Amino acid sequence: MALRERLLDWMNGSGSAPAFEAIALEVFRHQFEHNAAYARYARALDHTPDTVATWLDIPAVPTDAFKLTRHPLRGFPAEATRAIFRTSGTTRDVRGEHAFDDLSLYETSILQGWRHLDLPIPENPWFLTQSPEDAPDSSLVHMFSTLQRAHAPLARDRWLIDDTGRLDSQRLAHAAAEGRPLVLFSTALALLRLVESGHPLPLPAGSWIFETGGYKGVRVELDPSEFREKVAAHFTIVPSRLLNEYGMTELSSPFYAWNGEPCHQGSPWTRIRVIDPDSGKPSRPGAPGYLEILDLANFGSVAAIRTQDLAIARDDRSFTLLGRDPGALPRGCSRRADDLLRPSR
Amino acid sequence: MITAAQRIEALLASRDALALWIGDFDAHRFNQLLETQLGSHEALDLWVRRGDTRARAFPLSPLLHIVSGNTPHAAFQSVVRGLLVGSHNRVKLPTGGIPEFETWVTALPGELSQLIEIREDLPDEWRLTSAAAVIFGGSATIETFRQQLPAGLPRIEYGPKLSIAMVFSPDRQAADLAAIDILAFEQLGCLSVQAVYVAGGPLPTREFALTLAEALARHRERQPRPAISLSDAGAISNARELVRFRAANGEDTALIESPGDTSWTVVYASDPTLAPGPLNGYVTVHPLPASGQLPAALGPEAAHLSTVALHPFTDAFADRLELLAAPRVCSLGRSQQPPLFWHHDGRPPLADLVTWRDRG
Repeated sequence: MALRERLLDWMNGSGSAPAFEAIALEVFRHQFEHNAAYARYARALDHTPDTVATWLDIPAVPTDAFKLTRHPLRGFPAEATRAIFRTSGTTRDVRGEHAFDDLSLYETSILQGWRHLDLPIPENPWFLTQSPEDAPDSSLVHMFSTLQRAHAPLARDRWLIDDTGRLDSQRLAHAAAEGRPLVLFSTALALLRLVESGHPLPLPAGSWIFETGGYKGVRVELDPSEFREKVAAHFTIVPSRLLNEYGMTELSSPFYAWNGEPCHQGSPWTRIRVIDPDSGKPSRPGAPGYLEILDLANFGSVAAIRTQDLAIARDDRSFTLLGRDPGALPRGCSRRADDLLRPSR
Repeated sequence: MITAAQRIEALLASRDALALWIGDFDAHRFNQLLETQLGSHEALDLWVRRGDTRARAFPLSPLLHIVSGNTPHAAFQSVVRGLLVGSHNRVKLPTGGIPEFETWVTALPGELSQLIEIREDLPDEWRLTSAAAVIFGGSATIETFRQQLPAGLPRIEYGPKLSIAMVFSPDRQAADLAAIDILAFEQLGCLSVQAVYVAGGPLPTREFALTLAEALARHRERQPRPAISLSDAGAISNARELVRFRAANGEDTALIESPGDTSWTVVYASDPTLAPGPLNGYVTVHPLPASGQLPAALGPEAAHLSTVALHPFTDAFADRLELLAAPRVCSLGRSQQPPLFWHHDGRPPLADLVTWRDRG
């Protein structure tokens, strides 16, 4: 059976679970053989299928490499491309591109990851984003759409931001007034817009909120815990009913943590490692470092991704997210690469 | 109220400590600075003839200084300017302070030290009752204080900027001088060199990148880099991997890196586009484009230039860079030691800090 089908079977629980190490190395070999840009990078590091014996040594590409679209990180011909998700950014920013020839692994990973982590079924979802039609290149919107189609197929018109960026809080208020518990899916920045509107919007008992995205906004950087307290108060929900997703355009599988939980958890087809950036070697147990993720659902592109976030590894597929270095104070008047950064999803 | 002459006299008492941060000076040079900036060294104390009227300069006071923690220079230079014009100086230091600066203030004669207040926070009284603010810092710092300060408050903002070097004689001496400008203060200041442009085309540029790497390694051996944050190390590491990825995929770029750590990095890139790097000892070396093509070749970051350091430094070479309109051109190895009279980011150092009243 082809590797993609075996991965799908594994995710769907319809086949026997493979040894992670073996299938990870198979995916690496497949990507090395089919993804030319990745293979050249791996060769430069002297990490090839002949030299890599453990998933820990599969070379990770930095997320910024997805912005170098002249070196496409895809393992299929351009004409086979079925979808491209792009990182967010203004017209001046260079946007990263993640191409897919097949979305079945992506969508299965979203749905089966949800099940594996025992997350509640979103039966009454509302989405504080644009619709899939208005944002066809947003991986986040596609993820929301996947969840909606699977769990609430009739809730097709619950997209609360229109194509001009206008946010329709009235519809959400009406839905809340019906008294049926709902789930609000949103980016952190869209939640902030609602919170800053100043009109509290109590959600019915039993409601919860899914939030994602960085806190490095267009104006000031928010402290995540302060932000979540404000959100919980604004919507009158228990703070522990805020689910944080750690995901990015360059990945297919998200990681989740309920507010107050110490770490984000991933699906069985993911692994994480935390790297000391100075030495390039794994950080000591319990020590912070740069988060690298191996996501086997990223079959058509690159499974091993080097993020720009700091984390502490808890086990093979969970980590405590530190975000950007919390101890780093903005210092100096030098223009630096950070001055060009934008949120990445 | 003491006169400018008395303030200068008092500053001379700390000349040895101060010269390290603002360059050597004496009473004559300070008076010259007042002359060039205000038209007369007496303009702060007397009504001086100005064409068909008489005028006197009054300091913007209290003057709020928000200084970043990269180098003590900004704090020293900004406050000395404030003292010269007679402002009362409120200095907001970064968390952790700037020990050299605080020690200097403590040792000042009473008539000057009483003109300086230091804090690490920004109380409402300072925000709301200052006459002007001088802000040093990166984009996040400047944006933060723009929001915190009253909308109508005059602001003099320095940063974020970057500096570059242009080398017309790419030899070992040039590499050593460039290493000084790259490594001083870990590139955290706007006078830090982040890119070097080398005349002669790709081959000499590649060779100079190797020579520069050797110079950086020698300098780091003599003076190791202070510990940097994980984020800073990670930024270097990410930038290196991106260069490695590009090089592996056939781009005309190369990575020369300190083995086993991130203490220095030299990137060769034939693409002349100027881009800010991750700092802390990271420099990109490009072939120098033709003079007439400089602004277009360097791209939008050229608008953020502070200093261009030249080797060798001659007016003829400096004239070739006129299209870049950089506020300052200096000798390589001196980018981080601006002269007392310099126009910081093109602004007058003292004239910005006074307002004028006329009589007659």
